[in-house]
Amino acid sequence: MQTTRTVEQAYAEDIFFGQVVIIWARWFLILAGVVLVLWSFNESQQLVLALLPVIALMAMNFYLHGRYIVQKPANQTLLLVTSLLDIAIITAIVLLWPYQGQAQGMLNPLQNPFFVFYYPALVAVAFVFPRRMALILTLVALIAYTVVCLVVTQSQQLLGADPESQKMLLQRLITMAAMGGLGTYYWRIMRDRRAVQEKIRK
Amino acid sequence: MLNSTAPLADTGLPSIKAGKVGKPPVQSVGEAENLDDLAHGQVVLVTARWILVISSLCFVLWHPEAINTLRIQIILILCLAIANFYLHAQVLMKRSVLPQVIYAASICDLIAITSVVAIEDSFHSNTFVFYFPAIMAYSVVFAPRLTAMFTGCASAFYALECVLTGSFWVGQANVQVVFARVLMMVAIAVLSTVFANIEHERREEANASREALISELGKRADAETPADERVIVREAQAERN
Repeated sequence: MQTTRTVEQAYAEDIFFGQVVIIWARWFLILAGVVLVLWSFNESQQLVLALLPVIALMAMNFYLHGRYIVQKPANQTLLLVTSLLDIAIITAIVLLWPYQGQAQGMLNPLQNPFFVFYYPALVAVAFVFPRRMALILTLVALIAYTVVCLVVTQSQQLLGADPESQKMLLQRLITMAAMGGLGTYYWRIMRDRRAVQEKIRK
Repeated sequence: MLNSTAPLADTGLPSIKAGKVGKPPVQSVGEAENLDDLAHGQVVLVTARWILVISSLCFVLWHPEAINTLRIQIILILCLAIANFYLHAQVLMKRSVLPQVIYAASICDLIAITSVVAIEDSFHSNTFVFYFPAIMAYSVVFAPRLTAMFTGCASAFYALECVLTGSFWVGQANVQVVFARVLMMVAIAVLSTVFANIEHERREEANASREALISELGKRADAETPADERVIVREAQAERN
């Protein structure tokens, strides 16, 4: 008996079933965003401005979650675009979000504590996308974070002068890469497990 | 065979002991599935722990802390390395491991990370990032209730040790940072559990549809088989039973 499922079909099935993980990861990002916006800003105009991108993200996620619920989930390209958008938004947060200890008008992404938002996004991507795509997205996030830390003068100076800061950056990059790597590894184990099951039943 | 998951002997994975030797292997379907998940996911746990051990050893040796802190860090890392070597050896030799040992190893991971964070001035320590791979690894392998318990404890201990540090209450923003870190730890656990559940449901669904198809085929074959042949088949089945 010959199998009729191609590799592309298997990938499409993984994306069909797994994309809710990416949607949930985005809900967590939105929750964190809403709480931090309401908490951080004291002036109404600043609060409204900061809340607008969160609302846009919410609208997008409602649309994607709604489609998933009515069994019409997004295709791989749309999912890829939204995942890249997540990474871009997190990078923008790391670059621009005000945090305690930040001097007025001085950006220092290395000391911005909200880099933690990368972790759920990376694990979700690793669980859903095929291995190569997941590794590319993980690499994009790592490069984005490194570039943001290296480009801004404050972080650059800190990295050049303080070995502790270099250590800190490397620790973050290694754990971010570990999330992508472990997620993809588990995804592969699950695929092999299903394949073995199918083979035994045939 | 049709309504069970793939036997581990066919997958080349180590088995997981359900209980003490000598006890009859009475397991519910859910328990068997959990043990199967543990067997398949054990290698993810081992890999995550190697990442923790190797990277933290490099970071500890690169620009080391004060001698006493360094001693504690090295002892913790070496203990983890020895435990992980044992577990990895069991995986490689395809030997069975008690689930309790796997759970204990994950608890040790969390304790080690929490201890290192505590001795490095909790809130300002960057070592907390190692919680994320550790949480992800056990969340895909353990049952949801255990995952919730482990993550709840890890988050609570981390938040508590941050709050108990002197430099924590400098400004409101520190609470925000701890909130964001803990929320992301919970997010990792939730996402990993959701994914593991999706995979579980996919396997169950594949089983169910396969069974339905086979029973339908059986019924059709039964209808097409002459009555005396059916009697012979039933007798043969009864004998086998």
